[in-house]
Amino acid sequence: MNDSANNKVSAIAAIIHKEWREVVRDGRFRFASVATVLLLLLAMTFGWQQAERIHHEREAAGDVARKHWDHQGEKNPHMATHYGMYVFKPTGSLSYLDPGVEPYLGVSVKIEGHRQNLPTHAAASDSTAIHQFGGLTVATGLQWLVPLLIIGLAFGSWTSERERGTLRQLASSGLALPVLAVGKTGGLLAVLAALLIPTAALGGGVVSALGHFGAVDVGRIVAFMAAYGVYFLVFVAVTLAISATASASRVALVLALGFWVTTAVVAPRVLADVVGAIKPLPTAYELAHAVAESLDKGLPGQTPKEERVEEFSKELLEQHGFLGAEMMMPEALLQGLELQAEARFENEVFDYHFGALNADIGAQEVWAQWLSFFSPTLAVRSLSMAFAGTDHAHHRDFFAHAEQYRRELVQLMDNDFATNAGADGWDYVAGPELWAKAPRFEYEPPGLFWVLGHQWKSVLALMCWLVGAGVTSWVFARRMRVI
Amino acid sequence: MLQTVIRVEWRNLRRETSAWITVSVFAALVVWAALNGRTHTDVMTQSVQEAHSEQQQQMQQWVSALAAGDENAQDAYKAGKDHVHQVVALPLSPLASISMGGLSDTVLRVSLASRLESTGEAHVGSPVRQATGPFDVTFVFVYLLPLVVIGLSYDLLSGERERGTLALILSQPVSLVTFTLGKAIQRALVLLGVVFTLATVAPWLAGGDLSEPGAPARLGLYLLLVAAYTTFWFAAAVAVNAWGSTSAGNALALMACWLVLIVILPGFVSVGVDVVVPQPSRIELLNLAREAAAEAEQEASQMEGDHAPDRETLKDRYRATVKRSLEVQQELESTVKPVLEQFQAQLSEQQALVDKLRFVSPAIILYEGLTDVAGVGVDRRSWYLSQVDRFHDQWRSFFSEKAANDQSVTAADIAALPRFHYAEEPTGKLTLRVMLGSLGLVFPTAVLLLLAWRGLRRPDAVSLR
Amino acid sequence: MVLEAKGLAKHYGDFVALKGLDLRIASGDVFCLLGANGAGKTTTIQLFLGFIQPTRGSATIMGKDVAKEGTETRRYVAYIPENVMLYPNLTGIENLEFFTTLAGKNVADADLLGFLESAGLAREAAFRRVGTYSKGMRQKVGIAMAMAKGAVALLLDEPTSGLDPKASNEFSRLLLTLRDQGVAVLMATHDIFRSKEVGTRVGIMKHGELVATLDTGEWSHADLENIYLQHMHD
Repeated sequence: MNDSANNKVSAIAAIIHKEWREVVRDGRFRFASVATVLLLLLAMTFGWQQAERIHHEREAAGDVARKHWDHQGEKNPHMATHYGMYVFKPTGSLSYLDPGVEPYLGVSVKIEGHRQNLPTHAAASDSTAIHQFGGLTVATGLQWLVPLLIIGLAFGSWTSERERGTLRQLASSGLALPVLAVGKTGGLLAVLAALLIPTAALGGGVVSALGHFGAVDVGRIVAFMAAYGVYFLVFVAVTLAISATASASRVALVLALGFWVTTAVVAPRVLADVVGAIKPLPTAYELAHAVAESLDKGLPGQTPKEERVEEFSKELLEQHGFLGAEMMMPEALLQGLELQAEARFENEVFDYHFGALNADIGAQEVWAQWLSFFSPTLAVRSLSMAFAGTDHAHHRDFFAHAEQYRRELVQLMDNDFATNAGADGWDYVAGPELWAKAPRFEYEPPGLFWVLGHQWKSVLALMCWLVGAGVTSWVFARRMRVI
Repeated sequence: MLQTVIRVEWRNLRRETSAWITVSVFAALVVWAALNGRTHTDVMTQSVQEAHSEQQQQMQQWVSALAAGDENAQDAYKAGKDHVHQVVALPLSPLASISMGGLSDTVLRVSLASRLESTGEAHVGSPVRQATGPFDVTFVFVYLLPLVVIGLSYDLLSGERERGTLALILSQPVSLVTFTLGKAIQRALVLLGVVFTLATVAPWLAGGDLSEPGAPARLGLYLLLVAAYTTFWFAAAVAVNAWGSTSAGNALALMACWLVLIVILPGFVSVGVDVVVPQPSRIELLNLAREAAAEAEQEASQMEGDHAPDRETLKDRYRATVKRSLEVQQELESTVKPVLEQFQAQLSEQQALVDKLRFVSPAIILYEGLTDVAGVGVDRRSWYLSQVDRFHDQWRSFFSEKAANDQSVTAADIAALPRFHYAEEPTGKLTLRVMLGSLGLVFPTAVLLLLAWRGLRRPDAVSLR
Repeated sequence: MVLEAKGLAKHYGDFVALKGLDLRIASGDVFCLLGANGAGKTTTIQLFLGFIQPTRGSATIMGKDVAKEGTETRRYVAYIPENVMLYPNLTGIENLEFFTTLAGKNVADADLLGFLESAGLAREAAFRRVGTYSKGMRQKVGIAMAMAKGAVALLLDEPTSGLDPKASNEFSRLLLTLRDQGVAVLMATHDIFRSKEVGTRVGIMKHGELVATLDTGEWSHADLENIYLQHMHD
C-alpha cells in the first residue's frame, strides 16, 4: 500500500470514529435508538408468541381433522371422498419476523372428491377494523422505523458541517470529499450495526429460549438479514446524497422525509393498485361462477363435458384392458372407472381455473418485483416475505401440494372401490383399515435457492438501488459546495 | 394587527413554491384515492347485481319447473337445498367509496343450509393488496394529511427565528402571542380551506349518490372528522413551534409524533386487543362444527343421490333420510349456535375494547370514524347481520316445516316466500358514535393549544437563541 | 430622558453578562458602546428591546419600564441588527409596509416610497423582492422602517460591520440626519472611527461593566483608540 492510500484509509477510520462519537453523544439519538430497539424486541417477542399460538392451533386442528377421517365409520370409499378431510398449512418457522400476506390467505383446505377447494379461514377475516393499521411486526419496524432513524441521524451529515463551518476545514485538509463520504457512510453503518446486531442476537436468544418450533433455517435468516442490511445502506447513501445537495439542514431533512414517505408509505399502496390494474383478478363470485359453468358444460372453447368424460373413460378402460368389452366387466369396476374418469375431468377444470387464478396472482407478484425498481421498500418487502416464507409463492407451493395430496387420496379411494367392491357395488363399504392407509399430509416449505429463483428481480432491484444511491452520494459529495 | 399579519402571511405563502408543490401533490393523491374508491364500489355493485340476477334466473327456472309439475322442484327439502336461494347484500352507503378496507363479506347466500355454510365463503382478491391496505380516501386522510399539515407548519415560528425576521418583528409593539396567532390563523385557514375543498370533492368524484336520505348527515360527519383531525395536527405543530428550537428539530419532533400516533400506537392497540381478548379462531370453530356435523354430513353424503342404484326402493328411505337430515341439521344448529354466538361475542368484545382504546390516538379515531361514516364499520355490519339471521330463520323454517310435514311446494307458495328488506341503521346512532369519537380529537387539540399558549408566554420564548 | 438604564444587570446562572449598568441617553444623543465580544453590548440592547428579562435594575424608554410595559415601549424604538433580515419573497416596500403596520402606523404607499428613497434605496429596487437585495440595501430598509415608524430611539447592534466602506459611509450620514432630527441612538459597535464620527459619547464596556464614558468632542480619534486599547489590556 502506498502512502496516499494509507493516508486515505486512516482518514476514513478517523472520520468513522468522529461520526461515531458525535452520534453516540447526542441525547436525542440515544433516546431514539433505545426506543427503536425496544420496539423491535417487543415486536419480535409478540410476533413469536402469535406464530407459536397459530402453529399449535393448526397442529391440533390437523390432528383433529385426521381423527375425523380415521373415525368416519364404515362407508363406501367414494362416499369417504365426499366426506373429505381438512388439511392445514403449517406456520413458517420465520413468520414471526414477517407475517407477510399470511393473515390474508386461507390456512385450511378441504380435501374432497369432485372439488378442488380454495384455502379458507384466513385470520384477517375475523379481525376488527383496527387490524387494518397493521400490528407492530419486526418487518414494519425494519422497513419503516430504522430508515427514519437513519434519516434522523444522517440528514445533517453535510449540511450541519457546512452550517458550523467545519466543512471548510475538512475540505482544506487535502482529502477528497467523496473519501469523506465513505468515512461518513462507514460511521453511520458502525452505529447501526452496533444497534441492530446485538438486537438480532438478543431477539434470537429470546426466541430460542422460549422454544423455537420448526427447523431453524440458517440460510433464510442470513438472507433475511442481508436484505435488510442492503436496504439500510441504501437509505444511508440516499440521505447522505440529499444532505450533500441541500442548501440547509432543514431542507435536507424535509427532502429525506419526503423520500421516505414516497418510497415507504405511498409507493406500496400505489403499487398494489398498479399491479391490480395490470393484472386484474376475478372476484370470488366470478371465479365460482366460471368453475361451476365449466363443471357443468366443459371448459370454455374445448370439448364438451360428456365427450371429455367419455375420452377419459376410454383411456381408463384401455388401461384396464376392457376397451370394447365393458359388458364383461364387474359393474362396480365399471362404475369405479367412470367415477375416476369424471374425477379426471373435474381435475382438468380445476387445474384450468385455479391454475389461471394462481398464474394471475403469480404474475402480479412478478410485476410487483419489477416495480420495486421504483422503491427500495418494495424490493425489501418482497424479499422479506419470501425469506420468511410468508409470500404468495409459498402459499401456491402449499396449495399445489394440497391438491397433489387430494388427487392421491381420491385415487386411492376410487381404486379401492373399483377393485374390491365386486358384486356389492354401491353397497360395498370399507372400514378404518382403508382410512388408515391414507398417508398423512406433510408439507415442508421449499429451500432458499427456490426462493432466490423466484425473487431474483427483487434482489436485482435492491442492488440497483444500492449502486445508484452509492454513486449519487459519491457524485454529489464531489460536487458539493463547501461554504 | 392580526389582519396585517394574516395578509402578509398569505402573500408569503402564495409565493412559496414548496407550499404549492405540497398542496398539488396532496390534491392529486386525494383525486386518485377517490377514483380508486369509485372503481371499488363499481365492482362491488356489479358483483351484487350478478349474484342477484343469477338468483333470479334460478328462481325462474324453479318457478317454471313447479309449473311443469316437476317432482324434484316440488319437494320442499330438495327445493330449499338445491333449487332456490336468496342473495342478500348490505346496500352501499352514499359515502362507501371513501373506505375500501374491511368488510367484504356482506353479500351472503341464504339457503336451507346451516348458518356456517352461508357465512364462510372463500376469498379471492390480491393478497398483497390486502396486506398493504387500499389506497383510499381514508388512507390519504389518516396517513398523509398530517404530513401535509406538518410540511406547511413545522417552521411556523422557527423559520422566522432562523431567517432573522423574528428579531425585527419583536422590536415592534406586538406580542409573540399575537404574532403567532396571526400566522397560525392564516395557516389554519389555508389548510382547512384546502382540506375542505378536497374532502368535499372526493366523494363527489367517487360517485356516491349524495341525494340519498342520510347522505347529508354522513357527509357532515365526515367533514367534521377531517376538519377536527386537521386542526389537531396543526395544533401539534403550533405547540412544537412554541416550545421547540430549530426548524429541523421541530420537523423531527413532529415526525416522531406522526410515527407514534399513526404507526406505533395503533400497532400496539392492534396487538394489545389480540392479547387481552384473544382473536377467536375459525379453525377451532371449524373442527367443532365438523364434529357436530359429522352425522349430518354422513347423511348428506348418502344423499348425493346420483350414485344410488335402486331408485325404486328409494322413496321410503328418502323420506326417512329427509326427516333425519332435518333433525340432524337442527341438532347441528343448536350445537354450533352457541359457538358461533360466542365467536361473535368475542369479536364484539374486541371491538368494544378498540372503541375505548381509540382515544389513545387521533389516527384511530379518524380511521374508525371514517369507516363508520362510509357504512363499512363493525356496528352497521352487525346491525345488518342480525337482520340476515332473522331472515335466515324465516327462510329455513318456510322450507323445513313443509319438508317435515311432507308437504310439497306449489306455485301458490311463491308469493309467500320470505323476502329480505334491509332497514337502515338510524342516523342518530351513527351521529352519536362519531360525535363521541370527535371529542377525542377536540380535547387533545385544546390541550395542545393551551400548551402552545403557555409556551409562547414563557419569559424566554422571545429569546432569539 | 429617552433611554435610561438603572443598575441594569443580567445573569445567566453563574455567568454575569451585565452588572449594574447606569446609562442615560437624551434626544439627539448618540451613545456608542465599544468593547470586545461578550462585553455585554448586545445584552444591553436586548434588554432595552425586552427580548430578555433583567435580573436586576431596569431599562426605561421615555420613562416606561421595558420589563413591565414591553409592548408599549417598543412603540418608540427602532431596532437595526447587524444583519437586517426581511421576508425574501416580499418586495422592499411590502416588507416596509408590513413592519410599519405592526408598529401601529398607517402610512400611505407614496410616503413609504419616500422613506425608502430618503434611506437611499433606488426607486426601482423598492419593487423588487428582498431576496435579491444586498446586505447594505436591507440595512437601508431598516433605516426606512425607523423613519416610517417615527421612532424616538434607535437601537443599533453593530449595524456597519460587514458593509463595504461606501455603504458604511452612507449609513453614517443617515444616522447623522436622524440624530439631527432629535432621535436618541444607542449603538453597539467595534468601529472606533465611526464612533468618533457619529457618536456624541462613547462608552467602553468590559466584562459586563461600563469602564469609561467619554465625550467624543473632547478626544481625538487616536486618543480614543489608545484609551480603548489600554482598557482592553488591563
